[in-house]
Amino acid sequence: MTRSVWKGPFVDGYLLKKADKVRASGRHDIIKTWSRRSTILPQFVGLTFAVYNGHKFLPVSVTENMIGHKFGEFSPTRIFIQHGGVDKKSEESKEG
Amino acid sequence: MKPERLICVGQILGAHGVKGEVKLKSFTLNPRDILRYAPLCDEKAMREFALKIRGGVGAVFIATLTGVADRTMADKLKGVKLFAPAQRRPKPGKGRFYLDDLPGLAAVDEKGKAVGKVTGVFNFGAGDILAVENEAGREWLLPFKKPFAAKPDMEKSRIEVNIPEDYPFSQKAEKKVFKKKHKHKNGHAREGGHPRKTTEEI
Repeated sequence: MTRSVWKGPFVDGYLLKKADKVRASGRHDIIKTWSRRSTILPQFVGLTFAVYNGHKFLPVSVTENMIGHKFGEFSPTRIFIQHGGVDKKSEESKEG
Repeated sequence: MKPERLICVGQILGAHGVKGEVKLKSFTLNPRDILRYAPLCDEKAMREFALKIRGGVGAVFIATLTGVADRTMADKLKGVKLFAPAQRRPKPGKGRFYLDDLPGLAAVDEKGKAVGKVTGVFNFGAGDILAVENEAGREWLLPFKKPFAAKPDMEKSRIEVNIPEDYPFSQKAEKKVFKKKHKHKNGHAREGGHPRKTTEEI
């Protein structure tokens, strides 16, 4: 059953505070979090979180199309072996 | 002689029909490009397959492999991954590079001081992640973007990284250190619980 709309998205309060603090500072600090259950909100776009997967903190750079998903979705807890993307080339400029 | 580095370009999904054809999945960006890498081989480069594609949908093709004449032989190949030498890839354009080539690069800080070595590149849906490990077994997972990582210099085979002091890391060698510290007087490494009594003490 999906979450009732009237409740709004769930976010841990301390994560919101941390994100606000980093945004206000204007620095590229990474926000360490264990809150995999928190929903990604529009105000998180552009920030980088380090989401714990029970073993390591995986960096999650929040972009617009991740809004509405949970942080845990981007930090897998089980080992996933990828096959090499043969033709995958990286862009010349990696914008920060 | 140094063995060639192989890259996985496809996988055999199973047999198709009774004439030894197979269903094949291509992992290349443009699925039909798998033909450019032929002949392909298996993981240990023991068998070589010339490839002929008959048809297919999307990235899955119906193909004929050399030396596979009937369904029984095709069935045995189910799940086999197909590899090609990395040298057969087209050369990336100027200022471009393959993510697959990054592991092994030296990671240096902005002053050029060695930090460690790139051990892998991952992507779990939230941007590319660069794994950097130093000699002491400390591993950092960095977002592959500025200001954490700069563009790699493939000619000098190094990449500039910027790891903040409070950046989270994982320590691979921690367990070994713990065992050494807590070595029992009898010489047994014990992980927990009460120390075992010797026969003389009893």
